[in-house]
Amino acid sequence: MTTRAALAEALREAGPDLSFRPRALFRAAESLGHADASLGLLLATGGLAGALHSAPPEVRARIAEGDLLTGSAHPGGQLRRTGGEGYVLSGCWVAVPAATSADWFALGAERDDGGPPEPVLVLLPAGVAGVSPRTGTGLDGADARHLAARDVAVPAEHVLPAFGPVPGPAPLPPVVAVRCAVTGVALGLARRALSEFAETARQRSRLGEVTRMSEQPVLRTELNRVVLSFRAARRLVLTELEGLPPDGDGQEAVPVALRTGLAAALLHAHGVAIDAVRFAFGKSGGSSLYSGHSMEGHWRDAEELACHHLFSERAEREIASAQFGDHVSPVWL
Amino acid sequence: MDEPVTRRYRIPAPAERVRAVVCAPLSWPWLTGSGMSVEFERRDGAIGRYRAERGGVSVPFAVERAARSVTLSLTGEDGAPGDAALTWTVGELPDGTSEVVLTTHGEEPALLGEAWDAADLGGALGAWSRDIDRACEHHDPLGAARALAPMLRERAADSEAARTLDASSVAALRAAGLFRLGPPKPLGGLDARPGVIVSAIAELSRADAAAGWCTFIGNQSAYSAWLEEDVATELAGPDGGLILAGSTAVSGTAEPRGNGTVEVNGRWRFNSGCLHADWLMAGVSVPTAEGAVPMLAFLPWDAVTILDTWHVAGLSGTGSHDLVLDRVEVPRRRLAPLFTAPAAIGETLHKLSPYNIQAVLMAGLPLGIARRALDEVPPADGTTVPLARLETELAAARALVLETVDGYWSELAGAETLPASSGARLALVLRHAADTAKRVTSAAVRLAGPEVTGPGHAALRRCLRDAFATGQHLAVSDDIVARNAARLYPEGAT
Repeated sequence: MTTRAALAEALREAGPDLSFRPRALFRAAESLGHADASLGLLLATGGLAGALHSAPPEVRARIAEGDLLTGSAHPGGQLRRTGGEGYVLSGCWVAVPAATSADWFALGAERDDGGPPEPVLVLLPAGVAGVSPRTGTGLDGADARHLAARDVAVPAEHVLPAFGPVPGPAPLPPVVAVRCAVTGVALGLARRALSEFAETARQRSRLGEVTRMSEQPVLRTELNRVVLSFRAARRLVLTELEGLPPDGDGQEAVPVALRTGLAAALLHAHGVAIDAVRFAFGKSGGSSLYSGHSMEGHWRDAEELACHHLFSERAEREIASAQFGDHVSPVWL
Repeated sequence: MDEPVTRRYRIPAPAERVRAVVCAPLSWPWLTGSGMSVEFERRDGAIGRYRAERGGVSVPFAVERAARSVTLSLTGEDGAPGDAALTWTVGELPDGTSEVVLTTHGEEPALLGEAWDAADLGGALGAWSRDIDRACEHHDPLGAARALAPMLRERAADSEAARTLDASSVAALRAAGLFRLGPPKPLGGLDARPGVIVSAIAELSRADAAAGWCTFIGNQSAYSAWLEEDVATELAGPDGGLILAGSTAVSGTAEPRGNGTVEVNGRWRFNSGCLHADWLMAGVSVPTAEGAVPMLAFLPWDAVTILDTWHVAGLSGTGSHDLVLDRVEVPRRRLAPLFTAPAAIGETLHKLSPYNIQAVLMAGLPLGIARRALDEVPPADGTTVPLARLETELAAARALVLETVDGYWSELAGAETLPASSGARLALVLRHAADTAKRVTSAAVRLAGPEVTGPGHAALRRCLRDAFATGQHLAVSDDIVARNAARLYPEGAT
């Protein structure tokens, strides 16, 4: 099955309007992360599609059924108004999934209309932005690459106010949806890595040892700590998700305080998941270094997920500021 | 029959250096700048099999190395000999420069012909040779390592792509004396202080972890000290030195033949540097009347088969392919009692156990990788505090390594061996250094921001892969920690 077909199948299974249903989005992402982290990232990035809710009907009509939309909510671009009704876009966006196969991109930018810069998402068709060669560490199936644009013409209706409050029932803000889903992917990947390692430990003995790895007290203690940490972090995320308004109520019902708590929980869980995969890989010995060994793939995928901008050092500082009541740009929250 | 076609290149560099690079197919991509890639497929004895590719065109070929020349023979997809052959000879000119003569017999594939037509060997190798000359002006390993660092950094991506340390890096390291840190004096060893060894390996690893790794592995020529001196000196190369590769894992057998030789059979993994080593080592089990005894066999480079197995997540440029020995005859005198007896010759380094020798040679590697990772992250708003913490963490790990190895030399000044509890410390310190490198590089990658996935941060991403690959080595495994903890606290062992 091709990647696009697999993604379409996963979306069908998860049900419609995932951007309105954070719990379902998280579960779908976690399930995919367990099966195929690259596919999980594609689903996660699809959380940007919620921004189309604020687009004019004629713009939504340009996106055909089955079209693949990815992008990046990171404000890597600068949008300047031209003399007429449109804009020009310049900038660079890192690690955009499906960069060579997507039909549309939703890319973060700062709009300069003469006042303070306003974060927006810009809808671009494929073929307009330049695509770099692939250079990432993992998530090979997601084909994430850097995109660059220089003075690309953008019609005004393709500029989506995706980061501000939207009246009426509206999907989750893209940042919330993507962060929720990427954390799900990371947790699914970690669960798989830990399960595989535990199974290996039950069957293998270390060099010169008679007992199985799983019978060694030190490893048991360390694995137990990692698993408990994983379970606690996942439970925190589920608790925060349970505290959100019912699915379908939309963005208006998710105030900043709830978004902040959820963001902090997701950030923590993401970090715990990455560390869990590193643990499993580190304990798997020299054989796991070889390409084709499942643990090698899990580790590279984890290191790629670790670089996602919504979980960066900067993101952590912004979320921490929000937790102390500071106003934080919606680009981070 | 077609007349042979000859190309001549004048190279402002000594013939011995030029030969090492020109005769190495895996260096041809950067040497010719033709966009050609070359993949290693296997080596049986002196014959290596490769595949050149460009633009969807693929040319399999075999290369046979002789003392002063290399012959390339085109082969079919099944490895059977083809019709065309190219021969390189590298001759020394009276003024100390050299001339490469490339002669083609038969129909030359366009892919190879265009590459050699376009090659500016003089330009590429002249600059490289001058880098080596500058490094050789230093008579201390650390100074030489620093002088080679820019060249090694430049070649790091080529080594990674070729999945072996580039021949130009190997030749440079050899010429600058950096493979003389480990062997005993009869094999050109420098009897270097441990701090010098650690710092030199760290400096090389900072430039390119694969170069640091292959240098530390190549210096396991220290194990030749377990041979009788006259046997050890048989291993010396043309420059009096020795680059060793192979594995001490007892994965093979050595059956006595009754004529002063043994027949060695087996397969070994993780043979870093096997494609450029002068000699190879292999851990073998030798049957005796008292039972099987583990020993280390030494074999010349062209006595083994090397399989293309090194497709890995990190330390790709170390070329740690699998080694196969199939009924290879080895003189009995070239079996060393590495695991069961002290060294027969040598200096202070060789008083240590083989595992501690390895640890002294290895300890600088994770420190150098972490140092490079921090070099790649300039301080910026919001990152100065975490960077400062990481610098301090790395400095502490380095200080601990140096204190430990310096302490060993002090202890060994008045003793022939270390007490077990002393010997246990370095293994634990090495693990600490490896874990520190993983933490520091992971944190550095995070501090670099999401842009780290892009083209401008290839070196930092390589540091991450190499640090975690280092962490998979047996020398820093949980087993080694457990065994040495038991030696450190024998009263607590169960």
